Amino acid sequence: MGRNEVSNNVRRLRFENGEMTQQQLADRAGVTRQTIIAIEAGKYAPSLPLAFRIARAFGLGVEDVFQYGEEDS
Amino acid sequence: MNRWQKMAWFTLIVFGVGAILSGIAVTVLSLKLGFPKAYAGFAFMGIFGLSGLSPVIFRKKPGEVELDERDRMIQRRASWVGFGASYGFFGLVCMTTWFVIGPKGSISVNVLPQIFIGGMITMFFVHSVAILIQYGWRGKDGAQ
Repeated sequence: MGRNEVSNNVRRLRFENGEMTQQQLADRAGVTRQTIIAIEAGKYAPSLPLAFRIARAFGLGVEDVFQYGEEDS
Repeated sequence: MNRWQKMAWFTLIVFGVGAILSGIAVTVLSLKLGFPKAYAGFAFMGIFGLSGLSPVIFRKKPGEVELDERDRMIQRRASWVGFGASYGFFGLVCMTTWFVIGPKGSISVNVLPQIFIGGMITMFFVHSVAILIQYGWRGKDGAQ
């Protein structure tokens, strides 16, 4: 589970959405807080369904939250 | 530290205590009673069975997500590594025995349960270590 090519804006979006905590996002996405921490740290790339659930928690599209390849987050 | 990390640590501690006590018991008994009576010291390995209580000791908290996709991936990888290590253990024991005793030698069948138990111990030990490597050894997980 090392660094991967998928980057994300999850941490920034959490703070922009009423300073949502990692636990709150985890509850909305149906995962553990540790998984959210790993995603934010770039140590874990979520599955497509999970990526959609996280994006839906912010009311955004998947590509607004996750980027693949050389796109900057 | 999540439930799986706690269970992995508990397994490692139980195995460590059982191995140490067995080693001490066998050593002391070998000095006092000699072999094969000293093998009775391996009875302390029964402590390993306590690791089976870890799901009861470390219960899931109400409302907590027990196993998400990342947890399943970690568990799956740890299982593969554990089984691979136990297979390596069996191979190592078999080939070492063959090289030491030779193709015309023979061993007692009493060794077979010991090899099996050794393989199981290897599997559970490596599984726990793999769990902790993937999750992290400590509970500090950078939560913000």
